[in-house]
Amino acid sequence: MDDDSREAGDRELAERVQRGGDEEAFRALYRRHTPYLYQFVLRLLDGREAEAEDVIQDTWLRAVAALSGFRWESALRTWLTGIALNRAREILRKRGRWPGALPNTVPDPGPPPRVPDRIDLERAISALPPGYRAVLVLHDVEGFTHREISERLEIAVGTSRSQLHHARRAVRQALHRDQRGDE
Amino acid sequence: MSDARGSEEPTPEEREGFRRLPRERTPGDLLEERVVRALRARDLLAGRPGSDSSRGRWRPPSWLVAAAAVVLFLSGVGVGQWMGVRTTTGAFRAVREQDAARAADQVQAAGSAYVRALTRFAQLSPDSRPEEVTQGREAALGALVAASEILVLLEPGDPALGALVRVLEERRGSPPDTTSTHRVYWF
Repeated sequence: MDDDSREAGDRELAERVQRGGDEEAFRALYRRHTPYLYQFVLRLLDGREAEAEDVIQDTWLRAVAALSGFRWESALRTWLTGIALNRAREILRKRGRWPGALPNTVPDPGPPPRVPDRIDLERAISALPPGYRAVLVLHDVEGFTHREISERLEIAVGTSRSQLHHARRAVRQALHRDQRGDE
Repeated sequence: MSDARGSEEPTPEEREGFRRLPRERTPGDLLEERVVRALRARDLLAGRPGSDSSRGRWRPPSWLVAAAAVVLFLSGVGVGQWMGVRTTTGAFRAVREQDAARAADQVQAAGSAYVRALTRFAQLSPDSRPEEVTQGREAALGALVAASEILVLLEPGDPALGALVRVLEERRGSPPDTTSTHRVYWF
């Protein structure tokens, strides 16, 4: 399904939910977007499934309650992602782990010599402090710009760049360790 | 869309690594029901046509009642003891203090946690000491029995639930207790 037809479908389903509380329409929306949102949130919350499920539930509750105010100036998925991101940050703040810190003195080991194994990469990302992890996931995995990240995380663009720099360095270090271990 | 500084750009190998990461993962089916029920409870969804759960009095299907009650007790009694998680008392307090819809949400969340914990237990069992495996299995079974007995109190006329209690009690090697209406479980 291309983006345009998906957006048109989203809009029609969302209007049915908003107008009449149509459960079938909601379930269709849920099934379209939840797998993406769940993976995204799970990555931000370092794989904690129970918390990720709570975030998904809250995201849909907030989204459906606020549907009438959604202007369709962005894709529905983008809007939902923003809600989920905010909710995940709230949880990380409650845990006292947002944004977290990385030592500035970590030397850059250089890029890994080969394509990183998926599991190693997931592990390296999950080991990052939450704030750094969010920036790396949003930028390098999801393709957001620093400006978009700064707006969503309420940080300066420079902070986003700096955190990405340190996050990549930490990920590279972890991948070097893993790849050395494989040899 | 990305605009990283040149010297920090990921290498092609790193980009490929990021590109290969999965973008989607489907959560358990229980989550969809939990979300739908939460939306209904807030009058944000009307429910399916013909469903008596649309507005006002909410009456879940018996299988959902069964699943919810089982997972609540299993999460507290069985896995709670086995995994060292001792938050069930707080969960019960919260359940009492909140309305039925929220309580049902908690039951379902506890159920998801229970299933994950049991799955983890099953994965670890082959490498664990036999007495630990037995202990975990007994704890899980004891919780099943406890939950099924509460279920009978919820739906006393349901023959399937009665049969479930009998089967579980037999499995445990003790006769079913059909006379008592209250039993205390310690966590």
